[in-house]
Amino acid sequence: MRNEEIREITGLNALLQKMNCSSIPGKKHVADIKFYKTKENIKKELDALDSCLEYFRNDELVNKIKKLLYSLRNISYTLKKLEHSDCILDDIQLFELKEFALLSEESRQVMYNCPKFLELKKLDDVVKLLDPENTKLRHFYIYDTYDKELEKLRSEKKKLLKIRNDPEKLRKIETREEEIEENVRKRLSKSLFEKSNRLKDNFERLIKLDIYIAKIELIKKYKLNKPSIAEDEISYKGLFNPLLKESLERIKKKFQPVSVSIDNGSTIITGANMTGKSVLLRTLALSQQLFQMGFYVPAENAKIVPVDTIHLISGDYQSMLRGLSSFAAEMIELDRAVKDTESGLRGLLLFDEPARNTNPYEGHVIVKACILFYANKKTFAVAATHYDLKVANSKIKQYRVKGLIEDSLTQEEIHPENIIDYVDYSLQRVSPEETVPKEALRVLKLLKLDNPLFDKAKNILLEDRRNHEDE
Amino acid sequence: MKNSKKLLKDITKHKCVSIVGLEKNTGKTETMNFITRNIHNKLNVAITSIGLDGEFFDQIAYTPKPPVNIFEGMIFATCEAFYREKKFLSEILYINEHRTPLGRSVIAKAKEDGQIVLAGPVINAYLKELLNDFWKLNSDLIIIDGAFSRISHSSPLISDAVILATGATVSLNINILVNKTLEITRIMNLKEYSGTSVNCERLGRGLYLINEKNGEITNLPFDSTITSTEGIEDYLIGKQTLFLSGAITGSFLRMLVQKGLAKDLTVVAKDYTRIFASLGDIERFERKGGRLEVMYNVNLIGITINPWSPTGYKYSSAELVDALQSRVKVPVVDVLAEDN
Repeated sequence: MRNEEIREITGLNALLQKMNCSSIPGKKHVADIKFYKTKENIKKELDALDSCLEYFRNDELVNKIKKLLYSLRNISYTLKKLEHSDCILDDIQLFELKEFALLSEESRQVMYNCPKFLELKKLDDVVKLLDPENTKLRHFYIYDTYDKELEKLRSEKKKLLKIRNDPEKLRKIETREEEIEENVRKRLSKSLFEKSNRLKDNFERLIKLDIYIAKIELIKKYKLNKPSIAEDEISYKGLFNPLLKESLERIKKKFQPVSVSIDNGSTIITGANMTGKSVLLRTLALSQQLFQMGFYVPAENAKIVPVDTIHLISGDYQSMLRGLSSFAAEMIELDRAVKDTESGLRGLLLFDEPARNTNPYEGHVIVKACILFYANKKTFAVAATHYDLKVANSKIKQYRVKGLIEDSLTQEEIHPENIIDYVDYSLQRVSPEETVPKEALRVLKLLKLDNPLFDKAKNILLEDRRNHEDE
Repeated sequence: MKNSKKLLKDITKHKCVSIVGLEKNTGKTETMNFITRNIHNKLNVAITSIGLDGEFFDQIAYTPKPPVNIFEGMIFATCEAFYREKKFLSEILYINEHRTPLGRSVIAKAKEDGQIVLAGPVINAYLKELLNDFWKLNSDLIIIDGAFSRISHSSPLISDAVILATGATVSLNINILVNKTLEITRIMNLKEYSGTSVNCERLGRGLYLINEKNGEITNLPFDSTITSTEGIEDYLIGKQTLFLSGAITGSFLRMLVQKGLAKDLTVVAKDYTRIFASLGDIERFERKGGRLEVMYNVNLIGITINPWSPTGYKYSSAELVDALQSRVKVPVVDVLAEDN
């Protein structure tokens, strides 16, 4: 699945949209947060986040900085121009740099003793250069003080403008004034060119700062926790889906967190419809993404192994716009995943009821092949399926979602909106030989959906079972 | 009191004044120059324009237009591209981040007198933001070089007073010119609707029936008066108020008259910029017992005239001023004559 698609499906994009960066460049940068693959880089990011959390405990400090960051504008075009030693910045660009230098200095003073990677470099020389009259105002023009002659010319010009009797002289003065102004711009630009590395560093750090503060706010808002980095087993205690949890809480419902551990190789998850298998898979992918982007994760406790790629394989999500049948698109994605595995990449592979759109016999075979193929790989393959696979391989873990609470059928007031109250979403280890629960008709009964067609289905099923028993 | 003095005095009573032209080349820029020249010494004046108005060359007629005069101490906003071209000294105070094809809006303070091409934001929301920036810089009076008449930027939500610029470019026949000017003046002076309180910003596009007895608002199954309103008579029974978010056309009013629906009917437009009906159509509608009102009234405080047409024809200034002044209450000023 393409990167952008998987970010959409797991809800990562929706979650990142909740990040409340203060500045425009910060907001823009959220889309570019890196996906780290090595243990070292992830650890570095998580540690950085830790020190930010520690440093920004004080709300007053956070608010002060956010207020400053709010006026941070995108000066990347101006900085780009400043990469050339012979560039001449115009008044608008000089204004931008002055405003930036003042903002940067102010932030530097507010962020006393901050984590090293956020430390801003001194730009007092830039401020002095662009604020020669020491006004501390974020305004700019080519000040008289830049050049003695300029000062003289301008006062002379002012007099002439009042009298308006010597247009020739006025024109001469204006020409000279323009000349000097351009020289001043040249001089200022050259001096700024020498300071451009510091300007650029500080710009990048202020964006980083904006992102970290937004990350911290997101962590607090969704009660995310720090994961630890593991070597060969991914395990979660109390894993939850932050956005789903939020929307359930809005209607006064609870999200039931799930605990699960996944080894290298294949893991099978079975369970009736509506028992949260798809949500579980997507949440696993989301959590993995967050972890590798240096965020905390939606779980009480998490030990996560870094992977190179994440694949979510399902007949559901594929874009019809690409002109493929859902089965074809799913198989193409599977092909990509297998090629990644073959080339030695470690992946997190999540199969959401794979091959459900083809005939059940061949579908069954494909799923079984997936499970067996990945059983001995170092990739983490998790398949949610309805098929009875009966794979006798002790290396393959199988879970079953507990599902409908036994006495729920006696409940009177069950309807599609409150069925969530009658499902136990927790996972239970089962042996691979165990048959997949047949709960589809139970669900119909539970939903009190009654019609002649469903009755027919029940009769066929009963007949089928009787035939099996006769054999 | 002389007309021009009266107009200037009225202007200083307001915080934000837009100048709208009845058509292109009716002398909005001269009106702007006339105001700033007379007021910049007394108040902190800030000026901008809607979009490209005030450019050196008229975008429609390609005739040269006088640039806007800037006086020392005045605050102005224009796009980056035109700011870079200016020839006088000014200090950049702020840059508004919204990008337009001509760059962001630069807000600056003139350090000496000069001339500049003004090009402010075109989008209403951005214009409002820019006005906020002006207030933050302690402006006493904002003047907006508006667009020509029918565009919604002179809409009352933005400015609290409007000056109408009219002139020879409208017609070379003085009667037509006077009548056209009176027509728009009449529409600008329509009464503000005072019935049930309606938040018309919340209502989407379309036609709405307001029940004055219980305040109920019903969305009628018609898109606009331009598309078919076949069957509207079934809804307009008894004393009613009809609110239209979009245009009100002359043919719509004629249809109401023809079907005998005008009696006791109040038709409410959002503001005067949405009304596209001739004076004849409005008066006929009113004679049959209908009322035409607006949700937001504009405060027309004066009319300026430009006796020159872009093709070189010139009216007698006095004759034109008199012809208009005898028919309107607000001061009528020839801003070019007042210069001398």
